[in-house]
Amino acid sequence: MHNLIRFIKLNQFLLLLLIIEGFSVFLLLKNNSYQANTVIKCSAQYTGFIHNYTTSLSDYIALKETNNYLIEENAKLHALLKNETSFSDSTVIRNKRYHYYPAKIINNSVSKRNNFITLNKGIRHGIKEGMGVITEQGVIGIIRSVSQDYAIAISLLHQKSAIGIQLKKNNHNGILKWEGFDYKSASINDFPNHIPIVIGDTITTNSHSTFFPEGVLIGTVKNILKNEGDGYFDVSIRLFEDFNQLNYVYIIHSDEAAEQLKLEQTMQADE
Amino acid sequence: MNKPFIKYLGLLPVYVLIQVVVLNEVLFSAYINPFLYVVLIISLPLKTPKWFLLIYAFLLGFFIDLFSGSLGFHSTATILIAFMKPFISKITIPYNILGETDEITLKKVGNKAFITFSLFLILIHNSCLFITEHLSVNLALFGKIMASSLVTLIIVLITQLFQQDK
Repeated sequence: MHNLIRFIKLNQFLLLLLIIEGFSVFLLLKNNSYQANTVIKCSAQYTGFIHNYTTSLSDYIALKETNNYLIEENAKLHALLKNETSFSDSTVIRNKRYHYYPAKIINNSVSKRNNFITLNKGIRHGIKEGMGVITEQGVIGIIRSVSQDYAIAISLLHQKSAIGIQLKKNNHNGILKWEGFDYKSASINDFPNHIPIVIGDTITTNSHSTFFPEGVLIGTVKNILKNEGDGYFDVSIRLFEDFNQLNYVYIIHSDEAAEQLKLEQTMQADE
Repeated sequence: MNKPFIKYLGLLPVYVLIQVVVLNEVLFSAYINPFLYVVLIISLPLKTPKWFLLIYAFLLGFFIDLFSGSLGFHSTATILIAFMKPFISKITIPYNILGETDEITLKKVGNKAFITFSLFLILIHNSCLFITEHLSVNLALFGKIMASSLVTLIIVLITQLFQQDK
């Protein structure tokens, strides 16, 4: 016993280091799961408050661009509305209806390996974990953690993000991932080589997703590399959305998609 | 002995805010992300009790982590440099140059010693941070570590211009 106390006294620096470093590594590992942990959840309310103040400055600077963006989107929506009323056909299958909640980005990063986005809508506005975040020009991310007034989303620019995509011209599916560094591009690995894909093809979300509606634009094919080992393609995609200039987004939610997810989860639990 | 404690605890929120509100927002390039807050660990007096050094480093990293929405990355890296600091100071800073409670500043230890000392710590910090973040080692990551470290060093040197003489 006496020796043990002496040992602890001699090596207290090392022991303290091991304890604290161990704790941080524990946080690091635990935090990698999809569901947010409670520390992030509790702190989102306060960190969000500070970020909210700091964005008010950049808001003024971006007013002109925001206006242009809104005008363009208005025009698109008007056009869509006209087409919608004149074109109604029983062959059009709409399996999911989406609710749109407008939200503003108050904190965003693009330079890290794992990027997160803080939004100014929370539980109070009906936001829940697992909702999708999109803009007119692309998929942005998925809500990961919600506090009373704020929400944190996992950006598409994240190690763990995997978005189901399809080629717009022939509906072939793949999974979009982000390899880091360049926030303007993402990549699809292991794309089957029998599918005709050329540079310039448009990529959209596919119909399997429970987060996003089908057909949300993502980007165009920038480069195709043939993987020497297995003959699959590694396709790099130029994203339409500039993640560094994001300002306003839509948080979307579909009750049907939530039902689909629930059903699929019961199947997985059975197996 | 208590004075530097209080001063550094007061500086903690200031540097966290500078890091989160200014430096994390300004995108120099995808390869450059300076981390000014390491200057607090660099300049803490050498004779600081080691438990204070470690816990201070943990708090510093933890607050930065909270604002970036991910836990553990910055605190792991910051604790690592707090642990390495005594060893690195032995090989880079001339013996007997510092008093009991002297902070490590450019004026006190001289240009050459300060730059090598802080460059070592910044390189270790950035390598640890980026490698745990990316979980891979390649040329692009190496470039990112180098570029970020150099920019961090430059900003750390700029803060030294504002140090008052005592």
